[in-house]
Amino acid sequence: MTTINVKKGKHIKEIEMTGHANFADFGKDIVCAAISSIVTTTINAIIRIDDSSIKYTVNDGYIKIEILKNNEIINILIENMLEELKSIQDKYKKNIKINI
Amino acid sequence: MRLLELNIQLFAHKKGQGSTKNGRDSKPKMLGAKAGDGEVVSGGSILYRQRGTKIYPGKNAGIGKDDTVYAKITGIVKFERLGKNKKQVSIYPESN
Repeated sequence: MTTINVKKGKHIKEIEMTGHANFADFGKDIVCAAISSIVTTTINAIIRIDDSSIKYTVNDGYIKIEILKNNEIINILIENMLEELKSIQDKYKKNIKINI
Repeated sequence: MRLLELNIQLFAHKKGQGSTKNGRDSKPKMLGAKAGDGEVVSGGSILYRQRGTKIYPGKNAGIGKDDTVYAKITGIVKFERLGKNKKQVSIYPESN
């Protein structure tokens, strides 16, 4: 199961994702593919807007995003990512869990 | 920060290296013929190692409890047919 821990103050400060989704074998895990795509798209969108506004760390089955600057667009992108991940969680409760 | 490369299986567990339940074998028993047809052997020599009686003991040959066929006398080895579908090994004394 992929666990997503969100650290929030006034704004979201940090998002840490750990663990394999374990929906299917490597190459066929659609839940993993969805999570990876949503998160990568959001990270790259923010970097294209302002590459000093976030910092990320990536490993096998692990991503940590630290939000260094908050502005309206970045907050919308982050919130949108979390909403998308929640919609995955609704359908694949055994494979993804979001803790906010 | 540079752009993150999209790896859509980042959160998928790698297929573990499958383990096999095979990989065991017994020590080779080196069965089979120990003397060739026409070869001169001394009495007591082992002629054929086997499990069961693929080869039967013929003239001047004996069979041990582990079905090993051996020569009873010194002589020449002869592999012969036995009936329709069996084989035997005999020892014939060398004609001087």
